[in-house]
Amino acid sequence: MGAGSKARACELLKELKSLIERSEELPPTALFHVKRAAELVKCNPERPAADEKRLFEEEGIIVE
Amino acid sequence: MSDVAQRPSSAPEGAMERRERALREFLTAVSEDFGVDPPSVALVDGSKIASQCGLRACGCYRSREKKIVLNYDCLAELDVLDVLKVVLHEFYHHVQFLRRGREAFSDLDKPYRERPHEVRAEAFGKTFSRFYEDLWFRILGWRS
Repeated sequence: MGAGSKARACELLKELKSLIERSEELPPTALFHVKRAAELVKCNPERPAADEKRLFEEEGIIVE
Repeated sequence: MSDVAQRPSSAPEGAMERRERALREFLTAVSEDFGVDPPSVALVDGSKIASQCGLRACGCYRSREKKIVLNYDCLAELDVLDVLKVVLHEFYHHVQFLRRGREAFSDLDKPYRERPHEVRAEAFGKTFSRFYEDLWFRILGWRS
């Protein structure tokens, strides 16, 4: 995987997203920008569909 | 938003309440244009968003309560027109639910960007933000 490859960029964005999600200090706004960056790079979707399906089935929530 | 003690430092006293009222007014006007009952709306600070949306996110639509929940801390950092797009995106989920019920969201097995209901909500937000820009600034003016 080259340093400038799409796969590498997506992997780093995924790690960054996970870091922000777990952090109590980093602003959640950063998630929006990470999501936008992932869109621009055309990464695969970052959130497991199973989580969102479960949320909708159990609580009727559609996230974003 | 009565929990003043929990208000984040980014939200001046009364700001969340004022904006929540303005959002309600804005969504009532948009709902009238589309001939639907308006959704209820809640602005919550970032520390509470997961309890409302199930995950940390900028916003969500709670179909059982027909309620749009928005993350104040997230939106306060965005460009004002991006906030409008997020609000319209969530409004479109409300329309989808009113028109088609749970069936509207039967594509949740697909990856987020490939779900027709999300693609349409995104397109709706982008397209109609141009038409609602004036109303948005008049009623809300997010940072003004």
